[in-house]
Amino acid sequence: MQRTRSLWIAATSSFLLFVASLAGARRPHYGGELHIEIREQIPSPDPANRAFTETLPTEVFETLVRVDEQGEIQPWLATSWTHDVAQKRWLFIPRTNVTLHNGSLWSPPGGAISFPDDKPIEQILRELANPANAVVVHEPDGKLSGTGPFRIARWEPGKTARLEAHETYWGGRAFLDAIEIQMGRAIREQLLDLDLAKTDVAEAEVTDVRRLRQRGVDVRLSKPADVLVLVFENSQIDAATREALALAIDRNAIQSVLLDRQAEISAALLPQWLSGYAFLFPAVRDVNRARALAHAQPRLRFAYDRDNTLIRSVAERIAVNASEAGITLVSASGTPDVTLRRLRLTSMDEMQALNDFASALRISLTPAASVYETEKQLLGEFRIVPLFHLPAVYALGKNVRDWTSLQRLEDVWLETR
Amino acid sequence: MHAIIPPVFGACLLLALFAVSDVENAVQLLASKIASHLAPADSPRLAVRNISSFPAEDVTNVRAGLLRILRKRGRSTGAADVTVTISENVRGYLLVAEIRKKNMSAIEMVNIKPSSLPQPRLLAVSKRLVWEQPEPILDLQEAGDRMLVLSPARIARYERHAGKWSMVEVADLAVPAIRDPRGRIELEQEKINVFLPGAVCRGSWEPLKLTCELTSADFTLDGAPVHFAPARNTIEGQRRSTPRAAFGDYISVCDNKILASSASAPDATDTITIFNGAAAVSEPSDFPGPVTALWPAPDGALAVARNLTTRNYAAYALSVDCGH
Repeated sequence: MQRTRSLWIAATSSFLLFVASLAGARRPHYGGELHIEIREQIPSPDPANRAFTETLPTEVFETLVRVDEQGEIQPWLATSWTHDVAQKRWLFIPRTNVTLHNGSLWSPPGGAISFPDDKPIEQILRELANPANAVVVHEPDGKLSGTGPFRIARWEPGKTARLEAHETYWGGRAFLDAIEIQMGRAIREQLLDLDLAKTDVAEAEVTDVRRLRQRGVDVRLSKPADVLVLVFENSQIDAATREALALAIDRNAIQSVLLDRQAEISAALLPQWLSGYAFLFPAVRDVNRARALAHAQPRLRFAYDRDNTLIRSVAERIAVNASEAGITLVSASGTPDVTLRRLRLTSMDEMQALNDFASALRISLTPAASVYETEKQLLGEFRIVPLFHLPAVYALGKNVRDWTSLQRLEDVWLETR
Repeated sequence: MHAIIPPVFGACLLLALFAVSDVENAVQLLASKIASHLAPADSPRLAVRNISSFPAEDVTNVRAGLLRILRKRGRSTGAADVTVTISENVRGYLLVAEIRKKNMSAIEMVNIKPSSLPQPRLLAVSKRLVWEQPEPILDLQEAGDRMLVLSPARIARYERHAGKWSMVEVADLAVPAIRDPRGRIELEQEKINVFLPGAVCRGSWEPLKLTCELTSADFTLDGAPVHFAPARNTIEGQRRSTPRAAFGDYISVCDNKILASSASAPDATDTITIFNGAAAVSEPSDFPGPVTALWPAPDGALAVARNLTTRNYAAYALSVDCGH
């Protein structure tokens, strides 16, 4: 069996959605440095590092196959795959003329990469599409070489990084000459720097969208992908208390007042646009039932990122809601009983995304008969209480063109003014 | 290379396995899944709702199909409640059944891939060679037996006699040179406006009499006022940004579709295709070199390609069949 797809099909199916643009210049310009500021402090550019793959997964290191915007597998560094003669292994045929960042040709020994045929091919492909399984060459000097459109020119752990265009990239050289990344910048600092033209791209919160747009700033929102969740860290907290807290939260009020209606109310980890079944997880408020369940009037240690204004305001409202059900949430030192966290969707493959959520929460995930059953099992005992899906928000400088996301910078170019 | 296979998941790709060839099959499959939770003679109460972009007129068919199959089972109505939700995910439509009985509830899902829905027939782009010349053609306007051809530094008027075009007059345009020149002609009865990056020339076109001034002026493209960025090859104010995989020119056609040239290199042949959102909805129309201009025209569009063999610039009138 051989599975090949024409380049034309791959290209058209991997089209991104059209994005509204303030200035619709159509012929991209080559050159320039894109300055980006991010909150994340990424210690290392290794694709095995979660913080790195969540931020810049495809710009430096590439995988044999990819999951496209429709959740379908597409050939990438491997152009096709076939069984060996004995039908015991899968052979992946590497793309030709792929050069590594160190200048050498990427040519897997034997002309093919093989994997045992010990599981369904769909599963093998989805595992190969995981950014953690990208092609990485560890150089003798400790640096990492990949095949992507940008190479790492400088990396100061957690502080700054410089990516430069890979001149011989097989998919065509990126338009930008370089990307300068400043890490660990608070949203407020980022937006100030955008105002002062010290950066071209700044992250923003959903609560900033209206204000920025009123000022004429080009603001881009992704599909709602980040999920805001309550996580019970203390396994001693009983199921009734956990359910009581879940039932006490007034998601509607938080969504309309604190999140400026830019978030989607949800009680599921995977967003509705990805799974299609998120509506099956009810996000209802029932204070009477919550009171009945929390009759012991528990007192829980509650932790959240106090430096993040949005998270802090949501957490404070949750504490008020909880008190209405007789649950006291207090900030106290020591191991928290419950935390409010923001998790990022890492994959268009639902099972992989659930796996990544579980791994971020240090919860073991036992796959069930379907993705839905697996998610239901994960959420079943209210150890994780999803609240909202939030879009990633980026504010762009006036000269940034063809922006789609922080994960896809090879098509971005700068208008010279 | 890093370890390729991480800890294995029994990532049961249930939805993918359930993908069926058409809506009718999906309905049948879902009905049989629902039935597996019912006693042999049970006929459930059925509610169908649509929270997706699934065509409203087809919701009735889904409901009717489910009822037809489930009611065949028996007359013991009301033993179970079934709510079927037509939902949507990145792969397509999803039929989700919530089955509730006295002491039991269950969920069943069936995926319908968009490709399995009736596909509209492909739209078509056909082309007719209008004019060819060694000098770049920025725009061309045909009006019966008269034609205006805009080049970077001049505009020429042609007339057709006995099927053959001949130049009648030419007017030089006093505008700065641009490395990647672009231009647009707008006619309004006897008046003519020629828009160039950082310049506009106004006057009459029969005879050709134009006065140019160095300023940016708006012309209309896809119903929106736009202008060339001075000293650049870009248009500012266009309503949509370029499709990612087609870095060439593009215009709106056929009710919100896009006619776009591909990301051709300067030394490669090119294509023009109609796109609907993410998908190509016409066969690509081939050109003998890179498309250097693409403008809307009364009957479709005008495309200019640089013929790689002759090195001439060739203007084509494109007819777009929108399938109406």
